[in-house]
Amino acid sequence: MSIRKRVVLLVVFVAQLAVPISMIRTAESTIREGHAFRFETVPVDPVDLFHGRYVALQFSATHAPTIDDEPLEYGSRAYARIVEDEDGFAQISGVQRHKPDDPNYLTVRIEGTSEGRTQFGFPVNRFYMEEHIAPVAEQVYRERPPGRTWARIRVREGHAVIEDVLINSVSLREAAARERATTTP
Amino acid sequence: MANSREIKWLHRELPRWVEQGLVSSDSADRLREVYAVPDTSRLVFVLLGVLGSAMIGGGIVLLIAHNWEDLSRFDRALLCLGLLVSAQLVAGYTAFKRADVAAWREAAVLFVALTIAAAIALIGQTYHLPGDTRAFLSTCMLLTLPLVYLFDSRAGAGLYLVALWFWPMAERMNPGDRFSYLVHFALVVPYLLSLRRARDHSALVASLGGISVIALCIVVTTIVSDIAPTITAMVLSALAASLYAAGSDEQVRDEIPGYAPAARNFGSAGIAVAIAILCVVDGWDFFTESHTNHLNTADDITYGVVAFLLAAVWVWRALHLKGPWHRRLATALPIAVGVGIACQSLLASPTVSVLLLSAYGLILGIGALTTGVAVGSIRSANAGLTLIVVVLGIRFADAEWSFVARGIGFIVLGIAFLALNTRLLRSRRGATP
Repeated sequence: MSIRKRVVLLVVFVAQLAVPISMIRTAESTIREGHAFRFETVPVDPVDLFHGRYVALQFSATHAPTIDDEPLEYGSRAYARIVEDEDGFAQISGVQRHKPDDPNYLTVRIEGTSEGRTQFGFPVNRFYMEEHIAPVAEQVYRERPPGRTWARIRVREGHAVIEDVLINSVSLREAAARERATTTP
Repeated sequence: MANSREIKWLHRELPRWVEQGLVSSDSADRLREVYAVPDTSRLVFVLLGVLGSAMIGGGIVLLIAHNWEDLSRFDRALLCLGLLVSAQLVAGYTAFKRADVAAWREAAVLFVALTIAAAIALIGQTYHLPGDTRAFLSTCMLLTLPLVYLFDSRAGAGLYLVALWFWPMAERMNPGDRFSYLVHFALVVPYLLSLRRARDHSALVASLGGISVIALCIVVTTIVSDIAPTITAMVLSALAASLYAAGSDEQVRDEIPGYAPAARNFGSAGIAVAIAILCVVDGWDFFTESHTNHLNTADDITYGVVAFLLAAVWVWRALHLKGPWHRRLATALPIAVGVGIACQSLLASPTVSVLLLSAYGLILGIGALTTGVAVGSIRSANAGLTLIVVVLGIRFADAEWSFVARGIGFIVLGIAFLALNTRLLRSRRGATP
């Protein structure tokens, strides 16, 4: 291999390392500096060949009023502003094309618009769990006592990281681990 | 270019030819030199290297998929970067010390590619990042592609193209996604074309040829059915005809023997499938009915441009393609489909288009059949006969005839099929000493 190719190879190696490092950096800064919101959700348990088993989250906050006059195109990127209601749960107050000044917003993909309202894909939808814990978590959710289920999500300038999923203020991960410990001989 | 079986046969025959005085001993040596038996041990090492690294990389992916809850975020970050650096060290060692060994190069690229996928998956798992399959594939592909070029890796290119197969399945595409998809495909094309110079006849290149042709079909289908649905049938038939023409071209077969069989097989299968679909009314409805209301100026322009390009390709192919006339007729499939689309639009009925494509398929089948019989090619004769049986069979099934009439028709076709094959086999046995 020529010297030039070796130099290019080193540049490629740096780029390959830069991608995961930048992903880690963004997620860590969101966890450290982001505001924690409670989004109401419904969990189910599928599997991904690469990432493993996870609890898929279906959020109720997937449509909101369109703030801009300009139409938002399908598949385009937009920004969903977050506010908290009187119960302390997060709501999307509106969707707009331009970045808001306030850091409490999510970057979303537009899935449709109709009569002044915008439907969008929620930017976080997976809560990864250990291989044997995720199915138990779904069972814990199905057999839950009456109450609310939500995800605690840190948000900062469009980026979002899920910290935990809670059923009536009890961590789903902990509840599933406890359930598994009691049912496994 | 002869394949390895033919070369081995030549090596077995040469001593007898020298003994019988058919060729001199010097000529035999020269023939042995020109037609050297391929070194299969090298290929075995390459395949073992590819398989080994793929299994190790796949194992790492599965281990990470378990999701080790006890590991902290810091441990996971270290694991992710450590894995990647280890794979890079293997690739670096290969680049500096083993660059001339194909098995090392192929194994190193696959190992790095799978480690990149595992590292990104681990970060996604740690921070519960959304499952954006297209972004995941794109990141892994773009970070791997430079290694394909730097290490001249056929297996890496194959993995890249296989990832392209799955791209359209992820989510619905918007215009930006389609452009990005095309760019991703275009980025690997120079490498695929560079294999033309290498004159590599190995099984690895033959497999890459098949993978490339499938990727090309998926890319064209995805893009065309999204942006110009009215001419999807025309463009897909043009693709099938072009693949068939390229695969049948002696120059292409000589220069890139790895790609030619895949192109010809996919092309001829595509032509047969297109004719079979467009021989029935439902086939035309499937391609056009739901889109007739969307005809607009942009579509008309696309029509014109595509028709011009296809006509240009047709003239070029007709001038250059050697061999029997049915090969040139096969390349005219997109023109026939284009005329069919025009007839359907003008007459507001697919009847004429169905008859046109049936006649075209029948003539093409007769051409292949007569050529096969004339030169004693069972393959060509069977291909022609199959096409005739498919067209007539569909016409019988589609026509409002009685069951008895249709049944007799099928029996006659079946007897003709068997009789012709028996005759061809007998004539071949008679020709063999």
